[in-house]
Amino acid sequence: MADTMRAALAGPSGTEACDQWWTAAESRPDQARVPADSSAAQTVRDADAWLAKIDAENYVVEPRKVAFTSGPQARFRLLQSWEGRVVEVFDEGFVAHLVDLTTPGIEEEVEIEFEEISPDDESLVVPGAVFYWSIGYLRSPSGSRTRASEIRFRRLPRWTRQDLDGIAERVAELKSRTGIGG
Amino acid sequence: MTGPPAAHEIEVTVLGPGLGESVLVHLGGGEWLIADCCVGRGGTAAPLVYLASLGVAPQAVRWLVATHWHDDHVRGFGDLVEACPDARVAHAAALEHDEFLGLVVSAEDLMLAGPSGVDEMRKAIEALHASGRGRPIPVGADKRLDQVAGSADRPPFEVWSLSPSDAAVYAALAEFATWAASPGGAKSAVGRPRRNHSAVALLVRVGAVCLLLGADLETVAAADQGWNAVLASTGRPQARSHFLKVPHHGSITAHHEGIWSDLLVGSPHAVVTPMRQGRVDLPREADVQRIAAATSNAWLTRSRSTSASPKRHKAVERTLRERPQPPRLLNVEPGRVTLRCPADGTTDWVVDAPDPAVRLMA
Repeated sequence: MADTMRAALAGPSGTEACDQWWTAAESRPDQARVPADSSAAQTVRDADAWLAKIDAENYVVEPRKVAFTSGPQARFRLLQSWEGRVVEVFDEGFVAHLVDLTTPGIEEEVEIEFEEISPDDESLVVPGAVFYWSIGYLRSPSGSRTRASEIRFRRLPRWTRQDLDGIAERVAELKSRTGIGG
Repeated sequence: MTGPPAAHEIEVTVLGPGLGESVLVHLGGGEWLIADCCVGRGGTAAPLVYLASLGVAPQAVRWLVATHWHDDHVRGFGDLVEACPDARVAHAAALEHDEFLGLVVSAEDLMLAGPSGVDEMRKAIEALHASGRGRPIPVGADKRLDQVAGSADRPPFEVWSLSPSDAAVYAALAEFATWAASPGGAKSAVGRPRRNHSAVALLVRVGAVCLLLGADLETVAAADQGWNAVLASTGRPQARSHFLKVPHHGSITAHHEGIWSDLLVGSPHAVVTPMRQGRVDLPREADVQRIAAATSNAWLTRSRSTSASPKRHKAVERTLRERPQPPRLLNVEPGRVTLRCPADGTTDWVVDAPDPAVRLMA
């Protein structure tokens, strides 16, 4: 399913404006519909750009308020998403702790097989790695609708010497201010 | 069993697992010690909910102890520190070192939505400081944390930490170092700890009754760490305990024959909190058999029954059902086992273990 979704999302990279906003709220009458032009909604023209935004800005979306589409060729309607952390890796997959981004406050644990993730992401699967898991509907150019599940690992920059100096400074500040470690 | 315990009555209540676990001890005279914390579905610290159900105010909490920093023991601990204005707060000595504090501050850089054990310890440190109570008290082996003489209003009590040993603290620091940020290393969340080097086991003596709270302390090969070090110590109280909070969810890795032969009276009362993380599901059947053979008074706070999944969009539920294993909900209401007896130890314990708690049978 992930491969199907990635293939469908690999269409035009979205120079055209999104022709329609799809939000999970549309299918959940218990939740208020979010205006497409609200500050929470992000105008993102294709799924890869949306995911890249997460990677580049450590950006955590509010899934009920956000939808993404790959442009006129294929559209993804987000119904559910989680932030996951890898806690244990096996030969055939991994166990992850999930934080529900659609319904705040829910935490789960799940076992995921490597075949469910992109080959590009396999090298990122180590304890502590962070990913986002989205489930929704994928509508093809012909109008057919399929359920889709996509797991995308977060790509974070590596620690730099400057980062480490910053950590040391913040540890010193914490100790000085609170007295811990004294 | 309704209302708070009498001034000269001991109570031990074990909660868990929700997100985390917790042990509450009535120290007599209306004062309480809470070791670790857990939250249920609503996200509120379960020990506070339980005390409120007895009509006990948070001001009655005299001690809060974080036995270690792992997610399955400290969720909500920061809220406990905030809510209990008169409580002294203690944690394992290893958490005072730069190796751990580096993990605490570097976790901020990851901007994750979900909380973790290091976040919880940071919250506790900040809450304690903000309330003007200073810093947590670092504890290690053979340290008497508190002692109060008896009076007409209360029995005498004392609280001891039995671990971690100095060697265990150094081992914990070595583990922290493996997760520490290093130049060129990948940024990631703190991984799941594999060992419990620095867990704080407690001995609480109230009147004539002793309680051994085993935390997650394990038995390791080294003579100077884990239960080997506790058993070999001459600096701890040598009294035998009448109650055991079974260490590390009943796992064989925390078993030591000496706990049962040297630290406990015959057929003590014991409570196990189950734990499931990934493919590890504790206690295993062999663990249950071993513990039930050691005492006929052992209880499990939650049976193995699974809990319902959260309600989601039908398409999402269908997708999850098609998986080999759907996600397992962690936000469950903690189970509870409560035991009470007079502090003079003259009569048997009264046990309240409502569903889903169960008695362990051999």
